[in-house]
Amino acid sequence: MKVKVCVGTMCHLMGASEILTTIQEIAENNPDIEIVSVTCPGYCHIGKKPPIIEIDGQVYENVSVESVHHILKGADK
Amino acid sequence: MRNVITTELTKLRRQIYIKLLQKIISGKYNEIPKISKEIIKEGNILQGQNVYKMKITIDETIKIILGTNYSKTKDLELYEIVPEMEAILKGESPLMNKSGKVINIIREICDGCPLPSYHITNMCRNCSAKYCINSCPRNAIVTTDKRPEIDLEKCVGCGLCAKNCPYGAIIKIQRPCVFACAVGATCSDENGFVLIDDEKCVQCGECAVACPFGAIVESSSISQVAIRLGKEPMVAIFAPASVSQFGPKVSLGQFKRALKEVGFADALEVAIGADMVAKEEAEYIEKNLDELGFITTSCCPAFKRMIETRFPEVVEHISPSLSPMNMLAKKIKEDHPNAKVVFIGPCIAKKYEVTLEPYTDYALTYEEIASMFAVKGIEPSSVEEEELDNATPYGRFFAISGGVAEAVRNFVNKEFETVVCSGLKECIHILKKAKKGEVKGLIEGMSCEGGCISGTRVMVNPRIAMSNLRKLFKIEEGILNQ
Repeated sequence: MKVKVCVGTMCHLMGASEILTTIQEIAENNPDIEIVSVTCPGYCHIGKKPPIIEIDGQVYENVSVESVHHILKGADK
Repeated sequence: MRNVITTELTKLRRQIYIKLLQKIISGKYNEIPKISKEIIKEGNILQGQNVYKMKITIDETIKIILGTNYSKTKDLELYEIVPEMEAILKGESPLMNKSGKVINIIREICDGCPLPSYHITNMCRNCSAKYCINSCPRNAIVTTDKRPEIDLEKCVGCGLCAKNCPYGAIIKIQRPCVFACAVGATCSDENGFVLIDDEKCVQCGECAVACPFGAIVESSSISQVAIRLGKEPMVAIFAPASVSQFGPKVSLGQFKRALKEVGFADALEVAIGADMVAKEEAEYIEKNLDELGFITTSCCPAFKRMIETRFPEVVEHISPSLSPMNMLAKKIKEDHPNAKVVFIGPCIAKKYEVTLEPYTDYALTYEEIASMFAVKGIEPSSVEEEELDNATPYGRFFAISGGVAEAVRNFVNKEFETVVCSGLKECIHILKKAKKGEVKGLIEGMSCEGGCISGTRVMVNPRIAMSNLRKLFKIEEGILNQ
């Protein structure tokens, strides 16, 4: 599973660094997760709400430290 | 050290910065009163807060971050301020905040939460032993038919009842702004709303960080900077704590470049100023330490103001050096008298410090400049990396508690003691001792626990930032390793 975490300015302002830390913690116990921090892919410019992550091509918006757990679990199936 | 959590309130504040900057940069001042509607419409309602409270939060925050004197503008509606916008942005309006006071209270938003007290919760089993009553030294706990109750008039807050309750049923209620204030400047008015004692306040900004309702807001100069960028010569100087503040993809060199792209004529590291301060303080110590007994650092404005207000009898022990920010700004002004100098850092107290000396014109926080990047479409992680200035690693370690003392020690050619105090509470404790002559040597004081890298408005968890700083720059550490 390839998880792209946007760490561009907008996402960073809305808490991306904590999202990244949380995913890194989850990935410690899950070797399937490959984390890539990416600079702004531009989703926020087309109306998506930051912070944004992308899992195997699927885009998730307005991600929180809480919701990222569920998102990763859901995407794992 | 501070644990940084990007809360809904943090996000709201940053959205306000972004929206306001958009309106100012595009010259659409008449749309400023609509910002609250726009944000609410986009569905960013704070969980559980009603729309009215949300609108007040946004509107009042806008008045404060426009840099107005909130005691004058709090009774005005935003649309009444719009005709004054040109003058406000130029800094010439009579509504502007000219005092050094940067902490403002939005009374309508203050929840008037209970003052710190102990409270027996309904987890109490009304046991037969009554450890609480028997441990209370003031007979402040009375029995009722349901469960014991604390008489708040008699209670002195020792906490023995809570400590001795076998069910853990007694809790201490905190008022966040009161708990956060180390100098006892936050108090209550007759209605229970927060009030700040200006005589005691050191402008550290901890209460603004602590308030979970966003009722305490720091002033800003972002609008005045935005309007001048690219039109007037402006030099950005960024704090040693800037490492990692813009995420894992942005290096210090890229941050420097991004500042130039956003419109600054030049961008320099405050670490250069820190090196100058360390040398100057070292000379001062060699000459004066024997006579004075102890000397304190002067780089943290909240620490310095704490000494001035609380220990006026020892002010002559404060190092006469300028702070690294003003040291560098002074040098810039000597070479370019027309340039405006803008400090960028993690600090609320610096906003107060810039009003004291003529060298630095404005102080911004990282979230303010990041909002500017967002509005101007600059992505620091995509710009080319620039070479850093020739500051020493010692200057760069000013960001960490212990770093200033370490840097000064590096330049002094004699033995002397150093005492590092991190966080205002510890600073007060050490100064009490120093006043009595129990502490000798150099006292390094920083208002934020852990140093500036754990400052009031940092964007990244201090632990991450600190480990990156240590990876990037190396010094022979004595104090810092302890």
